[in-house]
Amino acid sequence: MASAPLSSSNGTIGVLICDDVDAMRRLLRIVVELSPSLHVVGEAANGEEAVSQALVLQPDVILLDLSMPVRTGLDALPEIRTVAPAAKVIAFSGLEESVVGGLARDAGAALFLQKGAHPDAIAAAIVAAHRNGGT
Amino acid sequence: MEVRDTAHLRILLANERRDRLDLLAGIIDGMGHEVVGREIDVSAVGALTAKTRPDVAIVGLGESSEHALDHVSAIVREAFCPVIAVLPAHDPEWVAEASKRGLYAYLLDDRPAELQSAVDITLRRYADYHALRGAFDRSNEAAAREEKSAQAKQRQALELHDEIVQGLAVADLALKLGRDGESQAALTATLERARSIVTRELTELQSKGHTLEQLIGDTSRGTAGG
Repeated sequence: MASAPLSSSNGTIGVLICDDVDAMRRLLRIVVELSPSLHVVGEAANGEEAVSQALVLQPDVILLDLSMPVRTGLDALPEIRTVAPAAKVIAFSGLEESVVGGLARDAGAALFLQKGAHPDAIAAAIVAAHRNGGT
Repeated sequence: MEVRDTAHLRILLANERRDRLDLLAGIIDGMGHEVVGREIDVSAVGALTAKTRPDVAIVGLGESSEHALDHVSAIVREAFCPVIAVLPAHDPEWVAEASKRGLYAYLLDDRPAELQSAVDITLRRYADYHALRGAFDRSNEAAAREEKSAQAKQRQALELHDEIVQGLAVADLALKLGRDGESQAALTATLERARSIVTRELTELQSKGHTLEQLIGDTSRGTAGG
């Protein structure tokens, strides 16, 4: 049974960052922490870790890289939605939205964000996903 | 199938008429070949074919054309040898039906000279057909293997190219965050990675016979500069 979300305790949006590239996770953490309405609740370096962290942390929003080792983000996405049903998932990828966006949404992503987006756009997407479920 | 010396062949005969069988056996024998089996009964000719594994089977058209057709079918089911029909007269309908059942050749006369040359030609054509088919099958297998290898390389290339995209994405985000040093470091690392990928590809292609001059020409066609 999922516990109450730890992430929203201080009123800010809790974000789980999932990417296999250390440098990318570090930079995304900076992006999130630059925004007063967001904070980082945890990190994951592959799809399996993303599932287990989502279950434990029950984040508000998950930034999920689709191409990860061990288990891809795309493959883990449905299970993430199951273990953390209240979390909104943003599919984050270097691939073009036209190629993989539909697949990500079908798997349960609320939004698709392409790598290369401006930090402000990343923060805005996190807020939008949390508020509107991506709509 | 190799083109055998057709001087001494093992031949199976099938005809619903015993007198025709015996006549043909005498002719075959006189040509220096060995009659390994003679059969009237359609239900038994298949087993005889399987047992004797003849080089050639000769089916005679007796009283019933259907009987001869059934002989053809039964022999073709059991053996990888060509089946020749000996017909008393030209019969296009019978030949057409027999061809569907696997008949390889026919002749209108059972005079020894023509029979021998018909057997020679039939065997050679049969051998050529099998050689061609074998080559075709081998070619198909080779093509399938090459396709599989090409796909594996493509997937490997996809993985490598994605690494470059990831590296550039890090450099880009760092730059947008004002972290110039980090951006530069990521750019440098990604450039090195891209360079090593290209170097590896060049080396591999050189080992396959391409000259460096040709390959440099290939890389020049991509983008301006370099």
